[in-house]
Amino acid sequence: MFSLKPPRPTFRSYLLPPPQTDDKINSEPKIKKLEPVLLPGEIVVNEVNFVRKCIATDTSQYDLWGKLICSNFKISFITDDPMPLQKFHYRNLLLGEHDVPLTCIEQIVTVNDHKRKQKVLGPNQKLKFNPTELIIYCKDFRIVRFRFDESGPESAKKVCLAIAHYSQPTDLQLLFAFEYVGKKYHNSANKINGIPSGDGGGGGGNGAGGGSSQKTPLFETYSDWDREIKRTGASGWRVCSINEGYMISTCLPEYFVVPSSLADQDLKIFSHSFVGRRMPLWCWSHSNGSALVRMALIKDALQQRKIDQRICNAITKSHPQRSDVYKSDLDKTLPNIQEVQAAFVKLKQLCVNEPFEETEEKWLSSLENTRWLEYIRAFLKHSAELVYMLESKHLSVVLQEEEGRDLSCCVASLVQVMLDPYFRTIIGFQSLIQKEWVMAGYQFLDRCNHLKRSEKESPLFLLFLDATWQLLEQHPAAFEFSETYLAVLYDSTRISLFGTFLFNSPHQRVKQSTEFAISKNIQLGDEKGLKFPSVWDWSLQFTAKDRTLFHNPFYIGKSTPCVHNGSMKSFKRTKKNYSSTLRGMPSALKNGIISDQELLPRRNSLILKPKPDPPQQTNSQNSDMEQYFREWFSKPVNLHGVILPRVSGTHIKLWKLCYFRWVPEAQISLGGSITAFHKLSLLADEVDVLSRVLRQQRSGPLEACYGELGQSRMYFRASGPHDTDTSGTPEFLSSSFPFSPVGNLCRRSILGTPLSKFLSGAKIWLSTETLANED
Amino acid sequence: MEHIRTPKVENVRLVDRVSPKKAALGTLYLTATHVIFVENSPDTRKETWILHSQISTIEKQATTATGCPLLIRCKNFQIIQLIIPQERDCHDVYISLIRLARPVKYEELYCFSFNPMLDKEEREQGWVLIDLSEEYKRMGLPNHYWQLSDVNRDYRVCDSYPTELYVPRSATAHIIVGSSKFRSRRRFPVLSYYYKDNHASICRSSQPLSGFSARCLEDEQMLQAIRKANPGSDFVYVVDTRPKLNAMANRAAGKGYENEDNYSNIKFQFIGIENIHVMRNSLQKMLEVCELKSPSMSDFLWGLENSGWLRHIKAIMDAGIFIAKAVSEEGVSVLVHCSDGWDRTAQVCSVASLLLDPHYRTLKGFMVLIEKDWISFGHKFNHRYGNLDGDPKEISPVIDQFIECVWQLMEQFPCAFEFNERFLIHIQHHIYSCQFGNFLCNSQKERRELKIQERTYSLWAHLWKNRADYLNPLFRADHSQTQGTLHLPTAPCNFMYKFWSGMYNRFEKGMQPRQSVTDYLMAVKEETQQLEEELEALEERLEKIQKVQLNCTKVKSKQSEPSKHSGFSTSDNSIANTPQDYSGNMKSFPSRSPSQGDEDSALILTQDNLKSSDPDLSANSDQESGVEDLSCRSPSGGEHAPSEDSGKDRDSDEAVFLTA
Repeated sequence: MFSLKPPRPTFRSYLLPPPQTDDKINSEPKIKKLEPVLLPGEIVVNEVNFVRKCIATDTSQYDLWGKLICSNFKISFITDDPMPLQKFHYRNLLLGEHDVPLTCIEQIVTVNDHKRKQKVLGPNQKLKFNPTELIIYCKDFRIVRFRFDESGPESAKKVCLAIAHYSQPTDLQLLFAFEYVGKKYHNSANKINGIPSGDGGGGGGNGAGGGSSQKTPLFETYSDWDREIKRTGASGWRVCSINEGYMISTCLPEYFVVPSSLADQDLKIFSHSFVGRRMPLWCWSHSNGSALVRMALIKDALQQRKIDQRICNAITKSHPQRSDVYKSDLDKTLPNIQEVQAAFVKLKQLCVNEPFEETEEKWLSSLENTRWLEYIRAFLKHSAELVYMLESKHLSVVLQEEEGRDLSCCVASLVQVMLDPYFRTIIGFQSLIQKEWVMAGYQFLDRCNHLKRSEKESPLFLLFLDATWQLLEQHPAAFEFSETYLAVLYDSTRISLFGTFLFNSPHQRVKQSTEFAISKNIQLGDEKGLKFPSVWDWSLQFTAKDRTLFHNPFYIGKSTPCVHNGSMKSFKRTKKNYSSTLRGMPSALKNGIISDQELLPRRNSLILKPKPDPPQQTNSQNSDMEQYFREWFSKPVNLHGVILPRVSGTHIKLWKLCYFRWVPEAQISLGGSITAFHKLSLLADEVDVLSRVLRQQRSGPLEACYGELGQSRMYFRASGPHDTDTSGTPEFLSSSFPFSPVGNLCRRSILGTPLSKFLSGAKIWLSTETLANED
Repeated sequence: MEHIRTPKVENVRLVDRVSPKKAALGTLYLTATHVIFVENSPDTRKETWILHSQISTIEKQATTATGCPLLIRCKNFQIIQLIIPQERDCHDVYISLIRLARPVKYEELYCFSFNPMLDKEEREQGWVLIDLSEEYKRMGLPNHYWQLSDVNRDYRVCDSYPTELYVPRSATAHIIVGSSKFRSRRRFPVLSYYYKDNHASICRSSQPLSGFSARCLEDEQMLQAIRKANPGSDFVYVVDTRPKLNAMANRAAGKGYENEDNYSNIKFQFIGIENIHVMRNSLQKMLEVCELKSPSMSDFLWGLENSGWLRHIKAIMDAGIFIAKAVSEEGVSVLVHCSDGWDRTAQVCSVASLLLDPHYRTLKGFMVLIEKDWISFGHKFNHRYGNLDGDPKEISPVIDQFIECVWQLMEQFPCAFEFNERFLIHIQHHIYSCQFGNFLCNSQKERRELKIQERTYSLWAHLWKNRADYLNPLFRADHSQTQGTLHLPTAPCNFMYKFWSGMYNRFEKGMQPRQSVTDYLMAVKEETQQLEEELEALEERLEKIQKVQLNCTKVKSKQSEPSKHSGFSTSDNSIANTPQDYSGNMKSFPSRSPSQGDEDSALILTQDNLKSSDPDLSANSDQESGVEDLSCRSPSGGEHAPSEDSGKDRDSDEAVFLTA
């Protein structure tokens, strides 16, 4: 096996002799470098040397040699070898290039080629053979393969078992975040309140941008909710603190917002009738006064009507026009969490596991069979319908769901993303996730299946990100963030360092971390539970430069005075006749081809829009709604107003960056939408620089402005003032950018058995490729 | 005119496709060239024009209480549903349109009456805009290996080929003529594209008349000559773009494909692209999906897959990629054929050329490509696109598929093409519209006989004149991505190909992005250009004023020291100094050095001038960020509006309308 490798002098000296000799290692200075980079509280559990990481599916020539480590946080492969074939690496500060966080592991498969055996490793299992190969299937669709041909068989086995054990912990407190934060508290024991401010624990964290000092509201406090009420201009709503100390419900936040007309005392009484005591929670209010409210079902059949009536009346009273309440029963209108999960599993199989030759001809129907896109469509469609109720019918909307903590999270968020431009900024989007997911008790622990023993796994959060991506795809200029941001956010749910996506409810965080603190002798002081690092503190994961990739160059900032009678002010200069712009269609074309300019939209922004069709009198609500959508789509989009998705089958697309980023076959070198993103970034950056120049007082020389490049919000920057033309497309751009398929999707072998069969337990299983290489 | 039974029907309703309950009331006019529907609604008076040549099918549906519905499907994928109150009127319209949509003589086509108000000279210039001999020169021909042959002078050898053909130098007239006799419709192997970098070439022909065992020495010599014209390689790929089964079936008819044993040094390869009939049906099925009102995911995905359309697109792309790789990476010449060598061969050769040569990815280059591989080599436009009444089985969306391949590539490489989607859509439209003479007839010979160039106008000139509408703002000719071969995976998977809603659903309201990013960028770009021009003009004016005032200012400035200072300090806070900053940043701005003229007075003048032209300027710019800045910052006053935009163009439209 080894002889197949191109000679690598640095390794030859210590690989040829039996591997376990310490003196050999000492004689090789390079080996000392193969030390893992550990975080506070992270410990190495087991390790094995002389491991080969497979890079390509069909050849071993690119394989890397190094050491495989299992810690209580991650699997780490440490190597001196440079990554082959890879032109770009998007670095996560918490993880090495080859690392996989334990919570990202989906399945561990060990293989022995000689005995033709394979085994899926669960926790506390025994392994009767020495593995020659370890395959890690990751929740983010990666497949990572290691070979142990040259490593000590016993150490290899131990590492495999350790990985199996530590990636499938029996208790929440065994997740790394506890160890990490515990260490942090200990290290800063002498500081007030245990933890230094601004160090992860603060939670708010900086926005993605370099200069932005804005913090994401976490909605843990009374004041965050109060500010949200004021921000939306909601009247008739108040912050309620009856759940302080989680006295009423353990799955509600301590503070939430309720109709002003409902007294605490009433709420306390009503709460008993709701599933999980989840009484109505205010989400958001439209400027017309309509409110979005979510609540669990009323389980008490006798009281149901009465309570329902009281709640609805209270919501009506909180509406300035005393409008009615529109109730939406999500359980009846949308796919349930099991269906979503089933769709996701099929999607994953389609995108990753099956060799593409198999699905080639049937790609579209296979995609349809997963139902994933149909579900995305259903959520978007339903949310858009609720937007209509809130925006056009001026009705308050109540989302009803059994527990009110799954589908409601997704729908409530989507409705707000569509209605409120604030939630289309980075800070706003993060606050939305805090408000409607983290604080509202979305069960991240179960749904992400961090403990891998839950039957309750369901990727609703991903579905939300995907649906947001669809909106972003359809309205690229309406969002401050990029699709990279969404993908990275999804990945962050798999990093067990952060508290954000670790728990089933805020109460669980407090309870579990208090227990942990007591057991570790950590003084909590006034704090309610330990302060875990927040995902929103992006500086923990990415450098300032890398965070600029989160910014969408299309985005038009709110500060731009552009909303004016539904059209953009800057484009209102229609009186000024540009030679070729406003002539409408070229003369000859007008004659027959495009009698109606609208039919072939071109430079919409500059063409005076025809008046929307006059509203027609129709009886049924459906056609009213249709009318509303039609009218909306016939007007130019106000990027700082409502945005609606097109939801016909033609418009819902597969989020390729997320699902295809590891698939080598899907990679277009120097192509894909990233090349347009790149060009636009340059343009946006140039505009930024020029605005700065304009604003600057005459005192400073021009060069100084270009010197402030650190301030740029764009990842790709226009070069200096004198050579703007030299910025070609960087060589490393590909449709997967900033991710790279290299070594991340090592399907077992093209010649081997498709994984689908393998997972369903096929026993006879052999890689001819591996054996062929075996001499 | 004699076919128009009724020129005008009132109280016709045009049904809204999205919500059928809504219909616009108006009047329907039939003219010699168009169907025109004019809405009654006084504030819009919206007009819908449909060219007769765009009409694909007309369907008279069962009469209802409201009237008699008439469904018109167009070749550009527009669907019009009219409800005509009287059955008799409907029948008249129906019968008239059936005849009008299927002209029997070329002279009936729109291009012979279309008059864009250009004089003779302009028309002639239009026709020479795209010059194929220039194109062969650009490729580096003639050279040591290839020469221009006059063997097809007066179309003596092959009447569907052009007269000017490039063949290997070693191919004598004897070989050519011999080979032509062994090829379907005498379409012998000729050069389509020559790859300068390594002498490899793409040649095209029709299938050989090999039957089960026939051979032809000259044809074998012809292929040998093609191989010899590429000294770097010792074999030639022969690519038969048909499915193997089809090719084999042809053998029974005395046609077929090359036998590797008979030809020395060829490698034979089938690439299964289906025939025109399969493609026609496939498009039909896909259009049925497009007609669905609000398709669910499964309607759409299943329908799309069952149509097979994207699979066919992929087959064409795969063939193109194979050839491009053979030429650029292996340095091997390729001979491409299908049956007659005018459908699949045209598709594949042009896709390969587009991948290989960045020139074809420019506006003009793309016109050249269509002119070369399609028009000159006798793609049967008249038959395929049904310009004249003919055999419906001959109709097939062959060039539509090529145009879609280009769009698919544009989606994968958004910055690699100089033109945009609109360009493709307009070309597609005019292939069917018969408004210009370019795509008339089935061959160059027919076009010459008909004196097309003397009697009609060229589309290319028209597109070129309006090129500002067709530019891709992301394209930069000097960028590495826009140079050289496009690098595709060997056979991109099916999921790389997408449904082109911009083409097939282009008439569906609400289906298209309202604010296309491309349009947005183009607007920004255009505004920037306008501003630059304006700035230049202002600066010129400023300089003039300066010269006049220079002396007097010099005198004055000495006397009014304090006021000059205050003027200077205000300019610090405002952005009156914009032009100077700009000139430092953007190359294209005329640079003014600070030492030029009397600095102080120049500054004051600049400030005044800007203030008068844009009161909002300083107020806005400080709060703004983002792309919009470019457009926001511009003066909005009307006084600088270019006055050239008169109603000239509209006039010409009406002229046509009247003559019609």
